[in-house]
Amino acid sequence: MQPAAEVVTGVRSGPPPPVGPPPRRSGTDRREWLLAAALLLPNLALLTLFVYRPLIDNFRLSFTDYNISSPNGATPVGAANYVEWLGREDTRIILRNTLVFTFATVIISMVLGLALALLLDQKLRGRNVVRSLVFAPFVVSGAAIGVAFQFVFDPSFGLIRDLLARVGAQTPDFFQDSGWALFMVTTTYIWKNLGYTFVIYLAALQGRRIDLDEAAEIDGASPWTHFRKVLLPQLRPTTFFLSITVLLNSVQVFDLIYAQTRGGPVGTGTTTLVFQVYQETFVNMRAGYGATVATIMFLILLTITFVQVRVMDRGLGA
Amino acid sequence: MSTHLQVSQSDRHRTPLMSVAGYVAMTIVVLIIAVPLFWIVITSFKERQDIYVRPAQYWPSPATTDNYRDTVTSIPFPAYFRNSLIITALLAAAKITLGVLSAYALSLLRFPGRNLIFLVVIAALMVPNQITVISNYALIAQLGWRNTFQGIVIPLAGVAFGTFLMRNQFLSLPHEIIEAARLDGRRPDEAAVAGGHADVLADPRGVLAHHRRQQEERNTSGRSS
Repeated sequence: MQPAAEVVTGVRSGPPPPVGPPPRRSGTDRREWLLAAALLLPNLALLTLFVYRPLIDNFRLSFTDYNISSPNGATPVGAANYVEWLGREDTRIILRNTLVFTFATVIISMVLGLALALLLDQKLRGRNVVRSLVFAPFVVSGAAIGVAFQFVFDPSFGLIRDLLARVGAQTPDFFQDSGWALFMVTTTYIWKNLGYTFVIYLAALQGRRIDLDEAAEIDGASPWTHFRKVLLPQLRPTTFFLSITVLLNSVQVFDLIYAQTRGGPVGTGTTTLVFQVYQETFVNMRAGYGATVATIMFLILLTITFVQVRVMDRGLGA
Repeated sequence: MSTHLQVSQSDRHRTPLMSVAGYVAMTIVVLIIAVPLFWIVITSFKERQDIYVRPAQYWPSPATTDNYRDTVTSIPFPAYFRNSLIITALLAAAKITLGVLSAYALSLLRFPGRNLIFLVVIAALMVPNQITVISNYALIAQLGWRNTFQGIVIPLAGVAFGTFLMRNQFLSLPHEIIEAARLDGRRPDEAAVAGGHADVLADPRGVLAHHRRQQEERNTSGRSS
């Protein structure tokens, strides 16, 4: 049996290894093929109709001046939207916001999630309660957390202001200062989603091979060596799985930013690519330009995921 | 996965000092997670003028349930709640069914093009709702499904994440049992159930359910505004 770490998270990047011997030509195989088709078709049909069709539609619209409120339809404008995107001043700011938010959330929530999993894997009294508590915010919707955290971050009357005032420190203006607003959104997102990386890492840790732990102990390995040489390699498929799913989720965050800052302050303070797509399409009534940003974003994600698969795949072979 | 109850072997050799450090760390974690939650709950029981005061009140005085009464009466709360329940139940049923079926085909059955189809399913994770919402809205409107449950549920029923998760779950089942069953002329699912692994099939649904809820919320918040 494979280590159970792979049970929950085990993404083997790239093509999965074939289960069992290669297919034979026989009546059984044809029946199996038909069964597979019957099982997959409903899902594939839904994904094609409601994900891939809109994706192609979106690509087509990115070359037009489409406006969702105008009945006249869309006029082709060639690559004008793309040229505009390259030249616009806010492009650089929004790309930077997306980059900062995504990398901070991915790295911090993965490191903290692993640290928490290691801590709560120890035999400590009350760990089950703490495990549930850490997972709790993940269950609440991002919109609700976003609204509720205004009472925590409020620069005049919030919890943080009160705590900082007690130690005599000045509270930064989370609502007006772009940098601090981005800090607020990022921290809230990490606080809310820590439970996800924690639970996946914990499940992987619990499925690890105890005999390797014993071997390391007999060899007199220090805790740090044990972690680096025994635990981390076993967690590698989990780390790969998380790095992809957390990144894709972070890049696509919308509800939290909408509830906390509406993409502000000063216009684009916490606007990320996904938020810009929403803003252009539904607020500025420029769906064509929104589609352009969406297309660029999809291509960026595709590239990053491809690189992740390639880089981590090579490591997995070792 | 009965390993949950197993104690790590290293625990036997833990020093009291490490134990203390563990409890200190755990206390810090509890504070970081629980204090904001406590603050939010406490604020919901305050009167409006008591929310915006200095120094901050750590206990509501006087405590009031007016905010809760207003929530239930100022919006059609029962109707909203009922809608959420219906949409969640329908989507949960559809996604678990489709996810398990797709994952089963992609992990335990053998057919040409299996890896390609798996990649097609996974790539759907990269398409944000903001991209799909306009074109799906147009299609739903054409079908006459505006303001209906099927208009919300059916576009969201395709499963990428769940297929991903369940497939890896299925791949971890002991191959020997499945191969032995094949030789006996049985299907892999019969083998999995006969081998006492039916419970393993269902394990990661908790995570799946949360992810699904997130997606729904992301989608509805994008749509309603």
